[in-house]
Amino acid sequence: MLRSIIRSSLKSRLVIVVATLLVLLVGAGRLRHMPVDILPEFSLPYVEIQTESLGLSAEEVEQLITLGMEQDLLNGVPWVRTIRSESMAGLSSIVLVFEPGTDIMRARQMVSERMTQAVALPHVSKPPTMLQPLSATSRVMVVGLSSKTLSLIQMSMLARWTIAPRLMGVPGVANVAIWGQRDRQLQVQVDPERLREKGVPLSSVLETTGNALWVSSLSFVEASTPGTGGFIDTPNQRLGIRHILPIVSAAGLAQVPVEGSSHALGDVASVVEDHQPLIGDALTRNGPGLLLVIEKFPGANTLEVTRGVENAFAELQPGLPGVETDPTVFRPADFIEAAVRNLGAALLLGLLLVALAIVLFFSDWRPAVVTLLSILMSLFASALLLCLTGTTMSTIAMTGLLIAIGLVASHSVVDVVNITRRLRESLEQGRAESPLEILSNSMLESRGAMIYAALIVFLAVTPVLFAEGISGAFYRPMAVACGLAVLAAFLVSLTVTPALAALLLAGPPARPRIPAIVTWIQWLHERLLPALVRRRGLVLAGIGGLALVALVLLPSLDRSLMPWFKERDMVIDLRCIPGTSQPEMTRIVGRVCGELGSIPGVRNVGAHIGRAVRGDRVVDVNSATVLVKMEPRVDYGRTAAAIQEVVDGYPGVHHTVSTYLRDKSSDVIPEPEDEVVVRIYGDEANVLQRQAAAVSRALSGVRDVGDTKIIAPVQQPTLEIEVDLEAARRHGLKPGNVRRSAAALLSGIQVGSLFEEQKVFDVVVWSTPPTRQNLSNVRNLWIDTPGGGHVLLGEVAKVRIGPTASVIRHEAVKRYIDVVVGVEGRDRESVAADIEKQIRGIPFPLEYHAAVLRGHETPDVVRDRLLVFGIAAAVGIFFLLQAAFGSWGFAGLAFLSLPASLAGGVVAAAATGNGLSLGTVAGLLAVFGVASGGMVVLIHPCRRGESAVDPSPGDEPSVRGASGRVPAVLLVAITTALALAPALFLGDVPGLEVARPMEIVVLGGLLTTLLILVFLVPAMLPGPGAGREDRS
Amino acid sequence: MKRGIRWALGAGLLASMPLVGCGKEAVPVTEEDHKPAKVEHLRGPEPARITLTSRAVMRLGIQTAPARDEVVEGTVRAVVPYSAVLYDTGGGTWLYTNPSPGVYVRRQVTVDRIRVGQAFLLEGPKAGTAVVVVGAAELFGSETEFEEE
Repeated sequence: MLRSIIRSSLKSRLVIVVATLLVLLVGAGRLRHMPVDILPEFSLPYVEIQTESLGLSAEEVEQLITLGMEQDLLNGVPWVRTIRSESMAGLSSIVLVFEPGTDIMRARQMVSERMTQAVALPHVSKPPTMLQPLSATSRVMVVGLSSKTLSLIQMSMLARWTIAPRLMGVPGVANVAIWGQRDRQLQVQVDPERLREKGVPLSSVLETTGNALWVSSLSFVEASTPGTGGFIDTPNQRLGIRHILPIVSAAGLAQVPVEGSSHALGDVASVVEDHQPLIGDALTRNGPGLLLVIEKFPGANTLEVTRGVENAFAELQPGLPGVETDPTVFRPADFIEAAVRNLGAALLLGLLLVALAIVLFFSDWRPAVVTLLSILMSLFASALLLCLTGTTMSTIAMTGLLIAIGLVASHSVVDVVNITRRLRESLEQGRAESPLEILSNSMLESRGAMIYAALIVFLAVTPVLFAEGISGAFYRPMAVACGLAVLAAFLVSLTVTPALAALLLAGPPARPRIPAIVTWIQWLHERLLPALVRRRGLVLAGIGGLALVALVLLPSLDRSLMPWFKERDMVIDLRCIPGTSQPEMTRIVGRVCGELGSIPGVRNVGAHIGRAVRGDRVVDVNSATVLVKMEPRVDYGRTAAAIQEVVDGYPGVHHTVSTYLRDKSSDVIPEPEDEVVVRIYGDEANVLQRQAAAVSRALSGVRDVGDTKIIAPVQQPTLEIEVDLEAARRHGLKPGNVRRSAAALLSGIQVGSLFEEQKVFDVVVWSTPPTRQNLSNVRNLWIDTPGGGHVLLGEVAKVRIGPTASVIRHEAVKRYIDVVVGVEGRDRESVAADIEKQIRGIPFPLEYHAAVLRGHETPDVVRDRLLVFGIAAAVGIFFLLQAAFGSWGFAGLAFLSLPASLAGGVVAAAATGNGLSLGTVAGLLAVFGVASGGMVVLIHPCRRGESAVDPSPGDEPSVRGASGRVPAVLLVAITTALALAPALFLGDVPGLEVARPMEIVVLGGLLTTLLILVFLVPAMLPGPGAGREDRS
Repeated sequence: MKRGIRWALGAGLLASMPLVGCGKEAVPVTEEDHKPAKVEHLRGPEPARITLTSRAVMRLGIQTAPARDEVVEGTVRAVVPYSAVLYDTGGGTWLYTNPSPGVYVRRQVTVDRIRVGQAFLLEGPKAGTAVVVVGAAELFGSETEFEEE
């Protein structure tokens, strides 16, 4: 079958060349739009549902909102793996995580259907929103807005009504969240003391305000049915009737007469323009401002989205006078652009070096051109195949392609070297064959060998494809890219290489010269090999020794598989003690930002505190994120250390300094190996605490268990108002009355909406700020009684401070508490098994139970699965080698030589302190590819029981014959080494974080590989004269 | 030893990546050497004593004001600004006094009522004692390792 394909490629060479050009043209267009990002899409499919309920406490959010939705949603959505939720003051967030491989769009449809059936939520929150699907590295840009002339409320209006909608229209933008947003509201702020003096009940103010407007959401107010304008028909014309609201400002609303009283609204309350209570805030380098966080869809191209957003801002700028937009607060596109530039430069230089080497090797431009063009076409085809599978071109995918460079090169080089050799021999021996005949035979020969090499590399990377979960999704693009590259190289060698060879090499024979290297290698072999052949035992021992070195050193390397990207965007998480107020957070974060901004080397600082509507930070106001951007050319280590030193210097402010990519990819790191977590599920906090203590005590007796630690939800102080039924009854009050009055005064009630210029504003009845500023004032709130009297809140209710959980977390619809047990001595699995046995003996109350957390990604599970697949792959490789060589002996030799070839790479990694990083692994795989290709090329002709295609000295299944095949291997090794060599000279710059350690390992590994392939393995082949006559 | 052999088999034969356990990263970790605050937990009515470096005091922007006495309805009450008062989860009220530069001591007080940004205390520090009015939340935070899940 291969023969017929090669034959047809040779015959239709012009067609193939034209087709190739077409593919290049069309493919280039496709590749330009390939999504490019640093990390692949690795998050499991998930859906997040957020429900905003400003003013509701964590417990009420849990009871009124979260539980209802969870219980409905859990029972029915297919493909759900876990359901988790967080209830905190003002927000309910429910996350449904789906099984890997679930189609996210269908999953979202299922959830949507369920949401329409969700129980009708109490009228205390906005409707639940299913957030847009987001990429794993979701934030694509953060833009700061500040102004010297406009107020924050005016800027919020611009942001909400003009800027955000325009940005949402940029292709790829999934969400725009605005931190620091202050919605313009008309507020009727009452002072209960003043109301009491004027004898006006709070309910009158509510009704008046509601009825003054066109539309009110309060069902007990007449304006809830606004009525329509209508129209009249004159004999000639139809005139529609339009009512124009005269109230456009606070002054207008203040003139409205209060129902049941002679006063105007402005006499009994202050009617002002103000904003809603804040759930978060933002700081730019110019002080208070807004931060717009722009997030992208999965698979969107960060660079394209960034440019789209910047263009949108350029268009908007004329309409935003006085507003300073700062799109550089956080811009990952900077890093991507630098990385693409540097890696592109390195690869281009590498390509030039490779071209030089190939030309020097062949000393004849024609075979050099054929080889180079095939290599380039294979690389292009692999990138195109990768693009067609919809993969993002990430660092991981790029690493996969780099690994395959050696393989890709080996296919082309082996083919062309074989062709030139056969052509030369045919000429020298004066055989009467057509050049095409020679080409066909030699290509079939080399293809027959290389197919085994390709399959071996396939097998070596397949275990990665079977890795599950987040780590699997993270590293899978590497295996996919490598596999596709091998496939592409094979296809190209069956189509393009024969066509090019037929065009360039089959012409009138200009006597092809023997490359100088070939003569040199033969000279070396004649000198050294006889000595080695005499000491075959030593040679075998040598190979075995190298293999041992590799296998022993490998596990001792530090494992750190996440590359440390030199991002210039740092992300600092700050947390003050739970319960810290927003003004205090703004103050202290402002001080931190001010100091960070003064560090030389820091270009820009921005911060966002707390939350924003539809934001990606589900935190309370005591948490803040500071975004620091470094100058591109300053000393990275020194600036990072200075930043760390500043942040460390603020006591009481807990902090984590990281970069965005590191933050996001921390999900990929599996759980630590020296801890077992026991999770206890239940309903009530104090019962859970008791059970946790009981479990902790019971587990301390288990063998090899170290410290136990209970992780309970963090508590913060909260103001509790509990109505005293007896006292309330005496005044004729019901608990509900007390709540509603207090709610209107302390939290504010939206009574209606104001429509103006295509915008909608809330009209709110609230209390004056001094009324709600301290505990005493809360106690002294006047509550209206049914009889027209008043009573202080403190007289009908207990007003006190009590504890509350800052965030109430659920897993599988239940609250939980964790007991973390340290493991010392035995391995985690067996201790976990003992712990499980122990737990079964502990009594739990009804509806409480405990389970040992077994993530789907525990190190033991991952390692065992990898081991199984690894051993299967190794066995497969052995059998492939046996099939390739037709001899168990040769298979064993090759099987031993493969890890031996890696020895140099492992030593290089250990010596340079790189450890087992992604670059090291990629380098080892690349060396493995070269070694397996070389092994196959060297030994394949030695297979027994097969008639050689064309007997020639090069076919000798012997030491002598090997001399003829070694040059191809040497060229492959040189090509692989040179392709990435520029990475070492360009320095430690963005984009080369993986390429540099990879190149170091490749250089080291190729040294041992060449040693083995050029000297040691040929020495192990059957002695001279084992098959055919010697060439004199 | 058994583990070593398993590893050698698995990892060495393949040269494919062990996806297991990314080791310790080079993420800069907060060093415990030059802490800006030293916290001593004591027994009795003043359960915490925090000593800050002068740099830390400047960074936090701590400001103090003297407690004073005021006559309210015939009795003398200690008065401090409301911004000095901190609530704990049990409802207890505390503030920080500043007996010497850089030293802050947490002390319990009982609040009678709050008016116009001033807290009138039933039990509080003597008149003239410096109390922290800006930065008390951060001092409170430095006392505990509040565990965030």
